[in-house]
Amino acid sequence: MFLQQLINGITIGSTYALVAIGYSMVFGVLELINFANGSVYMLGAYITLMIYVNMLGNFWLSFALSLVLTGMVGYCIDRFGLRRLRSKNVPKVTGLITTLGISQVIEHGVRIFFGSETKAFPNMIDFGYVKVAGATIGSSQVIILCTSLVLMICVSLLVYKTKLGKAMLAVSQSSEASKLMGINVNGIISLTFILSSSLAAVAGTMVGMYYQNVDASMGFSVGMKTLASAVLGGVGVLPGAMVGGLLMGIFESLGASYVSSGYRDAISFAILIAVILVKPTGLFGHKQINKV
Amino acid sequence: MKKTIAGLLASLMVVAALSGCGVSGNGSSGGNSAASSSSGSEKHTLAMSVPLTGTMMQYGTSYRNGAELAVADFNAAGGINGEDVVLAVYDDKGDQKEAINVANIIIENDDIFAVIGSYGSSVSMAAAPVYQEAGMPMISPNTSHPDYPDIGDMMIPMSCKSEVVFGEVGRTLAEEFGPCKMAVIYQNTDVGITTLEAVKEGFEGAGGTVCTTETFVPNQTKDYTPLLSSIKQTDPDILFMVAEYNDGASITLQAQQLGMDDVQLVGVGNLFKQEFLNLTGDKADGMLLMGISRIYTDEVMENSDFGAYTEDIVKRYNEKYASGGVAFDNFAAIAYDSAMVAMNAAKNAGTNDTQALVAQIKKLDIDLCAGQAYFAENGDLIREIFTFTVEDGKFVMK
Amino acid sequence: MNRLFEFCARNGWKITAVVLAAMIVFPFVVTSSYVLRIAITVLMYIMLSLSLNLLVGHLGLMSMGHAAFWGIGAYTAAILSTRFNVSSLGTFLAAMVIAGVFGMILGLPVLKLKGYYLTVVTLGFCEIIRLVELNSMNLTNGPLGISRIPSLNFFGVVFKSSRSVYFVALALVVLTVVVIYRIVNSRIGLAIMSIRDDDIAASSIGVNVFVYKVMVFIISGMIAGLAGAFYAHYISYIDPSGFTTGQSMDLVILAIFGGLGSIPGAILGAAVLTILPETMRALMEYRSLIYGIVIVIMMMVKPDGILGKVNFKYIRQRQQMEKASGKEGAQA
Repeated sequence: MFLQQLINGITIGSTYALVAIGYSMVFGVLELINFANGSVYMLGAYITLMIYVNMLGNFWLSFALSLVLTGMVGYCIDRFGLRRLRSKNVPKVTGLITTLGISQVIEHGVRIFFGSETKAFPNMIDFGYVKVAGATIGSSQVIILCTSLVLMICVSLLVYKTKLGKAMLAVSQSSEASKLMGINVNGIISLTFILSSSLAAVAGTMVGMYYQNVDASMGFSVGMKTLASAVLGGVGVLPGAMVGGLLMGIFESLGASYVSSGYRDAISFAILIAVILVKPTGLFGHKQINKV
Repeated sequence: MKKTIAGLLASLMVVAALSGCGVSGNGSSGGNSAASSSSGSEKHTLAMSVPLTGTMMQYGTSYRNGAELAVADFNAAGGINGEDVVLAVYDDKGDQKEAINVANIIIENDDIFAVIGSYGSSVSMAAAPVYQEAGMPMISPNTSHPDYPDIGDMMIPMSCKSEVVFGEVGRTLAEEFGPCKMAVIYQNTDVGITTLEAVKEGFEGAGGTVCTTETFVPNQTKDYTPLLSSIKQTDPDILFMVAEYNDGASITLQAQQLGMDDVQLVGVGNLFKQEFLNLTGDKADGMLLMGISRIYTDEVMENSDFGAYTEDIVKRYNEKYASGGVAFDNFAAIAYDSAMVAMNAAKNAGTNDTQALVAQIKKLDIDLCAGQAYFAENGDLIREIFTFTVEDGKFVMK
Repeated sequence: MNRLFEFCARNGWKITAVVLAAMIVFPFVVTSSYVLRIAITVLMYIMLSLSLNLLVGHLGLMSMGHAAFWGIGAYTAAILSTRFNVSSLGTFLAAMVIAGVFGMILGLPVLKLKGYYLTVVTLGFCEIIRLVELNSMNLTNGPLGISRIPSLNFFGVVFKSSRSVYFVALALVVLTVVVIYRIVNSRIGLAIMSIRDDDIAASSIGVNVFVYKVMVFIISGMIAGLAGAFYAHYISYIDPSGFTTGQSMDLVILAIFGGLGSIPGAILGAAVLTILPETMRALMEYRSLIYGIVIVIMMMVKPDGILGKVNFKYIRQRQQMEKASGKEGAQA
């Protein structure tokens, strides 16, 4: 049974990891926590479903369209909500409140325009199960894990090996200096938002497929947990976010089965707090050097 | 630019404030005007406090639609001595503080004679003292919190206390399946806990054993595999679920995935919706559903006899509300009954003496589309228990 | 706008006196119990907003766990009054003490944390407290909540009518404002704000960062606990669903909306954001959607909150200097 729980934990953890990467990326370039990420995750799943059910019949096409649309939503959040704030030199908390407001707008908007019932979601990746050492592994779990790993590797390659990624790293270190170097800072930030929203949409759709339903409130609790994962791994550090996501999933799963199902989320948060207290910058976070 | 935006925002807020203050009892629907003129002593407004936004929006919408239809039917049949009843719907967001604000608006409106509300015990319990204090009859469609009737004589629950219903359910299960092992997975809400206690008592009293219980917080997660794996280890014969339909569907699917095919699944009240089957597909076959709710899908209606009164209501409700929304379900049924009971009582006993009004409501002497019900000597509401099962992805009545 | 602020700064005390007088007379003029109860809710949120503003605005630590202290205070008051028949004064004091203790429990370990690490720890704290409230059936009655909490009861006098409860709330708010005002405008306040601006520099000039941070956590927790105890007696039914992380986030919006680090700002923010949804009832389902849009637009238009960048003290000092130099100029 331990193996079964571990596998469940890894599956759900890999979806957390995808959303956590989004948080980390946005934090890296903007030093801002994008609370709307959880809602965008939910929105991605809903858009896929709505396009699939109401317009096209082809799931994968709907999925692709949803990625594009959700990316655009992410772009709009930055362009219309946050860009003005950057140019005005405002305290960081303002951006936070803006993203909180946007997440409420998205959640209530989805309820009003798409209906508030839980909706069935087709599972396109269900090809059966295989029994390994007493545990049942489903094809969906394997595919989710693989997709997450592939995407994580792609994002890492993008950030650490390409020129564009170098620009993102430069902006996260110092946007002033980057401007002086000729980097289009606003463009890089928009790109970061588009990327993080698309990743969230992928995660949302995959979770929808895995559990075969979606509802408008799935964004909120997942948003909190993935934020915690990103922080657990060290904010701004991409590999950290991935590891953090996987670990949160595993803690949740093991905690629910071995400690107490009622305190499920409390256990993952308690472990998170313990880790941060021991290592104040998260697992892989850089020690911040404060100059006075 | 900034000044114009600020100016626009300020004027928007002023307009909203003015319109909000001016129309302090908003959202009226069904029937025509004639409400504000509380001429004479008859009151004509029935209020509703339901969640029209927020996580519980779908249930609030069902309640509103059910009550709207009831008010329209009642007015078509003559209203209160020829005058139409007006339905005033207020949104309480499924939040306690909002419900109290709404309660204060309602008790100040002289034209309101009763209120239907709200969805969920924690919200109803918070607002109840306000209504009790003001002497406003409060009909609650699904509050089953054990302390609710104790708040006062203005409280009229339309749903039974868990101990009344589920003790019986537990006993029935023990009789039908013999002395066997039952595992209970329940949501950590007042409904979940009271149902667990009642079922456990009934089941163990009749010879069965409850081998394990697992709880979860609703709407926090979709992953029940850790709980189900723990349950599977204890090898139960019956798995009893107390959950909303979305969590129940996830539990059903994941139980199948874990290979618990030989375990008999039993579910309660909130699963009695077509939406549940939409989510589970054919994986819920063989499941038993027991409770005081009825199911109104086409297949069930064809094969069972709920009476012409109910069938007519179901048909007209579906014509009006089902497309793009949720079809007639037990929530709409109880809301319909609550509204009808209140309006009929207002017609028969008048709206001046609230004690008489409440007594008349409690007689429940009209046709009820949600099934027979009556108030027992000790004040508990008693309803019949229905059993349904699922065959070929459709509900069937047993 | 600036002229309005200057006017307020010059006549600060007179305006406060007028507002206070208006609030005392208010329940005698307005008889609608609905409006009165909205006012009581606004007063309670003012307390919460002020205490959170102390933590977020003056100390600079973004805490998303404030609803936990509110809940702890409410549960303490509820348990003591329903099970042990303690009168309201006792429950208020106990709630403050216990919430303060929890403030210390949260504050001590997070001293080394910076920025969003602290935020996530407070978020986790709030969630853990809520789950404890939900799962400990023996202590808190779990999801069934605690019902029939007795009304406010001071020295045998029961405060049941809306008007009397309003005055109790007003008294509590005045107490809170006085306490916070005294703290902020004293050496402690200067120390706290210096920690916000740069804690290494602060410690280098002898400010004991550790003591002040914990002190602020304890005080803000105590005030929130007091608000919770009042809430429990006022509503007479509490359960864990009222103290979630979503509530914490709403409180943060409340505190920041009116202006960080500004006492009149916190009061204004709490008042506006509590009254606004009530006035928008006409919008039915779209109400919450519009509320979110209002927040976003407001942050774009006034990013520091309504009264964020306005420092009445500086404006007054500048006016006094102008007056003084104006006199000299006239004499010269």
